[in-house]
Amino acid sequence: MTSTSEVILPASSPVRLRHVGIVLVLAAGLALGAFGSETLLVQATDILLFVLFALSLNLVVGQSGMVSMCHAAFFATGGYVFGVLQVRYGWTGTGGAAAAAGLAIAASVLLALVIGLLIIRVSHAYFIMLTLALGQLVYIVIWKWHSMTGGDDGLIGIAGVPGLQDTRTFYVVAFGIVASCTGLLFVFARSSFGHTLTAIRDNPLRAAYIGVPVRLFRLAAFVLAAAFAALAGVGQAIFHRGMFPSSASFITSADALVAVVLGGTQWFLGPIIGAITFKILSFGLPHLTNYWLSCLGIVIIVVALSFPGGLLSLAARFDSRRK
Amino acid sequence: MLWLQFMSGLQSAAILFLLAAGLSIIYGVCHLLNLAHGSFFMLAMFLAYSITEKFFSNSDTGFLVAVILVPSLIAILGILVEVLIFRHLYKADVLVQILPSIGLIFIAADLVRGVWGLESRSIDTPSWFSEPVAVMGAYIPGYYLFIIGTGALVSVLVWFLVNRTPWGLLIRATAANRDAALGLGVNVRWMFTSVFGLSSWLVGLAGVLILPLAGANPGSDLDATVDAFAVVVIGGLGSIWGALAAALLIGMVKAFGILVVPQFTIAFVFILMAVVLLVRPAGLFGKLS
Repeated sequence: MTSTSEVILPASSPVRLRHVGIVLVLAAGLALGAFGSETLLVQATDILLFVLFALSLNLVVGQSGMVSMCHAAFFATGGYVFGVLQVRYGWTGTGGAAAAAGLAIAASVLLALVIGLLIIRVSHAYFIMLTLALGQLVYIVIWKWHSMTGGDDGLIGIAGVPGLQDTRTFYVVAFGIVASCTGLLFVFARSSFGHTLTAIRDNPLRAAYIGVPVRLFRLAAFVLAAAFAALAGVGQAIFHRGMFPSSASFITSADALVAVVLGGTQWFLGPIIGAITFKILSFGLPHLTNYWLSCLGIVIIVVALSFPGGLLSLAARFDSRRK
Repeated sequence: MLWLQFMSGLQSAAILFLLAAGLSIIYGVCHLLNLAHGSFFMLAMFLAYSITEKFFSNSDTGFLVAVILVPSLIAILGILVEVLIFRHLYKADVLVQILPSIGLIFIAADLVRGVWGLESRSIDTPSWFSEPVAVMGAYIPGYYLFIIGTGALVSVLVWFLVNRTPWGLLIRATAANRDAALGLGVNVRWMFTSVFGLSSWLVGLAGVLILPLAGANPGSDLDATVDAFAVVVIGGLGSIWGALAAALLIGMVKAFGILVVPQFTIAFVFILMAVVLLVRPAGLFGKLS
């Protein structure tokens, strides 16, 4: 899927930029938790969950070269299963919430396994069309299954986790979890598993010839990404005390994909930078114009036409010019 | 009863073919997947609504003007989008090709929300077709026959264009081997632009024709995209006749599925898609590349 002429392994990201980035992000994140205002913390928590969501998507898109348009389905399944268990079955309290979260992630993994088994054989355009169609199917099911999900009205009254009700506490805990997941995903990306995925992305045929079980690895990446997306969905359900069908919509999947490309799929940090930029744009633009979604659309088109490698590729170009 | 279902299936097949044929042709010739295809469909519906309702106060003349004008407007839109955006991306990565169509989906959805609001919009069936017509003992809505007739006529025209005109010859040459066509002096650039024009014209026509039967909603774009995807996945991406066969299949499955399980006709389409994928991953008429 990627042009093989410029095989950029995640390892080749500009080292200085990466280190400065990690330190800056960690420091800024913790400072925000200590001194940030309530409104700022709400937005920051939204960004955190979106970062985790985008990072998980990049395991499929950037590292494995599969353009998935149904990632929101896994995010929403995580949030909805957690919410339904709490609201309809009373799995509250610390133990109940933990069990509900575990089951929510398991449900999402199962869904990814079913969808994955169906579509892992096809590639390129068919993969995009099928993931988009199946994502819409999940959205329709959530929309129509009113007795379980609350349909259009949303699933409200999710109790969450005792002790995490306060915005600041939740932010700090979420920051810790997202940072750990980021570390975990980084280890995956650098492991032989991650390198095998990159090899499959760059040349599936060659990977198959040297004995790599291509479909198994692709399926594993798809399912693993779904698990992390589900965790972000559970976080969303706890944080907003509710889930809405829009979380499963095409727009949610597209947002994450745009964030990933905006930052740069070929860098591990890309989705993080992209997700933060994207969220800041979508928080800021509505203050400037009523037609903010159109502005976002224009930004997306300009990015695709003028710097398809993403923001980090611009930074890297700048960096290499200075040397 | 069954005959009525059959005609209803033919009618939705005609719409599905007009909707999906363009998507398939664009992929076949330009190797580009336009996710915003359904957005063109939605814009056509809302434009047709405005022309009929606002300028001609829901009269038959308004419908006639919309049928002639709207597909041409959507064709111009398609040409503009190709020249301004997609032309520069034919050699790009799949991911980068997808991105601008997501941007277009956002812009179209935003425009519709801003200009037409969130309500469902529809127009009356033109009075020429409001009487049911007796066909073989069943009363078929006249408008169904109009859609079926138009769909059949356009299919023949597309067949003629592709197989019997110099333009069609160049299109087939470009689809078969872009570089060889370029080497033989075919203006490949113009081929791609004209393909976008034709495809957008077809999807525009589909949008106008469906409007009296189904309302235009802010969600019509993705519904149409998913429908079009179902058609090309089953029929085979890049094959016009695959699209025709798949449209007929899906139309019939929907029409007769409604008799069995009314709430879940969409599930039938997905099951059909899954079965076709398992048996023939490239669709009924597609070639595995």
